[in-house]
Amino acid sequence: MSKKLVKLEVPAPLDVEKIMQEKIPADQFEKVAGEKIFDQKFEGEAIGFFKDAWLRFKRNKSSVVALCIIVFIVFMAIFGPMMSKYHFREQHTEFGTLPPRIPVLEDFGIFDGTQQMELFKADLEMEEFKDAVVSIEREFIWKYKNKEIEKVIANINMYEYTGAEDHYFIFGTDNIGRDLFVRLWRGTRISLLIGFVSVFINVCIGVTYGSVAGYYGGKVDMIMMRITEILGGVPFLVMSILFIMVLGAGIVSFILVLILTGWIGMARMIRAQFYRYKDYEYVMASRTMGAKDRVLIFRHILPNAIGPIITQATFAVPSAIFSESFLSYLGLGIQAPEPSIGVLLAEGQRVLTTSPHLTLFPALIISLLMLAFNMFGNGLRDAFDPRMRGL
Amino acid sequence: MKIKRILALALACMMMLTACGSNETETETETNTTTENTQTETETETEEEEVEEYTGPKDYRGWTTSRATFNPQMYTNSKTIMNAGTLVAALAENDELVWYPHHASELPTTTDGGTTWTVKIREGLVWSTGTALDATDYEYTFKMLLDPKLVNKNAAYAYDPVVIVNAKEYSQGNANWEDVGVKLVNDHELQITLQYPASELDFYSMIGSLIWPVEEETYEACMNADRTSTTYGTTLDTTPSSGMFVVSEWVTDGYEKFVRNENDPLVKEGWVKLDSYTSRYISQNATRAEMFWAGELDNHSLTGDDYLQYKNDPRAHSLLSANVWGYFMNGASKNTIMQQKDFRNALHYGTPRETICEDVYKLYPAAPALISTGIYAGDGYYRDTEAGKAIAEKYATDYDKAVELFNKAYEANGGQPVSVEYIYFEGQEDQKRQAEILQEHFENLFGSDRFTLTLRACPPASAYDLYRAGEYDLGLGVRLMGNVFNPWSGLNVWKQDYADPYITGFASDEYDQLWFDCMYGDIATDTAAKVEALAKMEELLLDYGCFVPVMQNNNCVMYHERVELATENYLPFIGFSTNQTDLIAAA
Repeated sequence: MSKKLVKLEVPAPLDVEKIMQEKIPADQFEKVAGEKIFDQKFEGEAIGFFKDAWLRFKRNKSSVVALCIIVFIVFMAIFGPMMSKYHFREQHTEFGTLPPRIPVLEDFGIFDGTQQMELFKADLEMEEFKDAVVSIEREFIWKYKNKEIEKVIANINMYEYTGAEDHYFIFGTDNIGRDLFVRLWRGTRISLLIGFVSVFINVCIGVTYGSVAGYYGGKVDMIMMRITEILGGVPFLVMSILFIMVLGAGIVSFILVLILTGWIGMARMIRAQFYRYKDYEYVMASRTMGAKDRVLIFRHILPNAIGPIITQATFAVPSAIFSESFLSYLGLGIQAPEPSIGVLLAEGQRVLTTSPHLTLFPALIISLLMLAFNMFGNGLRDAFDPRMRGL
Repeated sequence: MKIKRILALALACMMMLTACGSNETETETETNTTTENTQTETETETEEEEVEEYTGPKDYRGWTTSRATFNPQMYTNSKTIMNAGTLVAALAENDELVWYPHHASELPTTTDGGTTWTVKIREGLVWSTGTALDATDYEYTFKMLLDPKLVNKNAAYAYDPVVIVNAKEYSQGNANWEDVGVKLVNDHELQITLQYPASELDFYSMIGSLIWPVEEETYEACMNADRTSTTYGTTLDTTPSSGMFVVSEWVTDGYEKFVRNENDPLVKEGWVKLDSYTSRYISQNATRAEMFWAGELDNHSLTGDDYLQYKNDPRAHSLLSANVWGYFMNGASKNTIMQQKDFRNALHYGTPRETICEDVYKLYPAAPALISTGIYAGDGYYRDTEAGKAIAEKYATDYDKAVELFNKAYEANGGQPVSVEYIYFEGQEDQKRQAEILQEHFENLFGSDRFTLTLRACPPASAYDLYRAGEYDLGLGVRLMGNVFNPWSGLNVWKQDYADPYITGFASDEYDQLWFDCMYGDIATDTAAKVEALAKMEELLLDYGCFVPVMQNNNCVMYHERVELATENYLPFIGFSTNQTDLIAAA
């Protein structure tokens, strides 16, 4: 039995180009649906992207607390120095390293300006100690080369001892008698300024760089990414030290140091977002409609990355503050007499055993800032995550 | 009889109990007492007790900063070269400084008023390697020290301030070794000829104490092919010892240990009590303090912050520094206001040195003049002489005068606001404080609308480079006085022909002539005339305004109670003579 081959008629392919160029008169179109729309109306208020994120953010209590802490610290950084009668440069050299003294609390023996000292009993008879001894904790005999010497551990009111009875330095003073309260908030302002400005610039650079690399891809992407890898391979500390040595310490130098490589993370993240979204149908449609690259990048693709950008920027702020503090701690701090949290920590660390208050308060503020920004960032990440929508 | 025995037994028991109790260093007596209960009695001598002499190991636990080499011709901190011998040793005896022959068999002598010196070397000296040490080693040492290819840091010890004939010329390649005034008479005698006569004190404290011998065999073995450098003293194996101690362990950036050299003549004569001396490299003062209070170190320097508590402590020993710290002023700066003498003098008189010393450094005294109170001129301190006092009085802090001078300079500068930069050392907290006080004080004194002081932190080495290049206005620092017995020699740094100058714009023929007259000229042996000349030199420097003296860094050192110092008085040149320290108890 032989098989017969049947030749099928294949219709000629449509000439789309030709069809597109053809002008079809409007009267040849006809409405499929009637005038009446049968869709059900939305009863609630429409929720936008940011409002939705805010609603979800509010549900995260720890993030809300973190936000409150950040707002408080930012508020104090701006207005705190104005709340004190002292200027951050004002020196009272005779009142050096006074411990904290806070009205009301001092009546309860807390922050009352006293300091425990180990002294020879004979020292207590000296004029400067006469009115300054609050109490003696302990007396003991100290033997030194066959001599018995009476010693005491005494609580000394340092404000009486230095003649600063009429002053209240609520966070104490540094060793040239400058009010730590004012200097701390001033320093926080500087640290936050460095943090915010450097992150803002990093975001601008990172977003532009990452967008271009991700959108165009291919060789452009390969070259741009190799450049980031080379830059990222240079040790941060070495580069920072060299940079500060050349430019000299200062707020601008610090910001420059922090943006040298700080934008790389943001650029990589944005690039990844572009790789994810650039082949989506709506992008293709827009491109088909003749949209320019600039419009596609900044209007159609980038908005998808708004959530990750905000989240990453939030995490970058404490990181920048921490880097500033770290470099200041290494002695590469901003120029005196301007304080920053890192500078204050570096100063306090040297007298940690004798004047712990100089380390305590800056350490407290930087710890709170780190914790608050991280918790706030976590909250934002969850809030902007579309997978969390409706949960 | 029985009662007597019982009483004797009871007494013995009591004595034993008392003895056990006395081992405690601290005996708590009362707690939570108020000031009203304080007693005036402070110090009581315990009953005379027979204290057994400590016979355990005597290892002193000191600290130092990192060391790159033990090569005595390159290393500049002479006080820590414990393993290097010298011709003459400076020692403490009955709380006084004495000069004692070390490698020399007797103190060097001169027969022609200080020009030609005979140095006899002891017989039987040996290196730690076992090879003999004699006058040939010293001749070789001088030759290598001055070698024009090696360019050793310490070459100047042979021609400044005591000038060996043709030593400098040889070191610069302009003379032959045969022309240098170091001659080997025989294996145990050297003859040293000087260009200018030197006093015994100058000869002992310079040639006698600062020429440390090097061992020829090791030195040659460590030399590179073209003889331009040597690795001598850079490892334990290449560090032969000839001093009171021998380097036995050395871990770079870790620690170094010296053990007593039983072959050393001074050790044989009983000048050294320690078995060993261990120095750990600890750069942070706070770390040293922690270790000292934890009983891990035998000494540490007090800072201003803890000085308040320990200033009356018997363990605290004050030093008398030979140096005055302050800041350099560049009269040759491009900043026009700096070129004005009135302005520089305004800064001198307006510097709040008393405030800085009392409130920042706390343990350092203020210094209005260039020469420290620890510097000798003849038999006594220069600052105690009439001429010395007059200078200190003339240049004492005077804010009214400062404002008056500033106003003059301000007008002469066209009445424009002036801004001046002040360099301080990075990482030095007290110096940063000093800078901040100066900034605040000057701006308040002269008016912040007329005067601005900007601060700049710099690593010390970079700061000194800027001073050498003249690229600064004001810069913190010090010019070290090399020899406490010869202040004139230390003042050579301000001469026009000094090899390593910091640019300050100061240049004075009168000054240079005075310096020469004091060192080698007509008045070299006339102490009274030299003191007058010294005061004039100091006045010329202060009048020009090339350096503003601020404070004298008299540190205060805490010694562990087990440390028995060789002298209770701080002695010039040797301090508390660490080499002679004893330990009276275990750590």
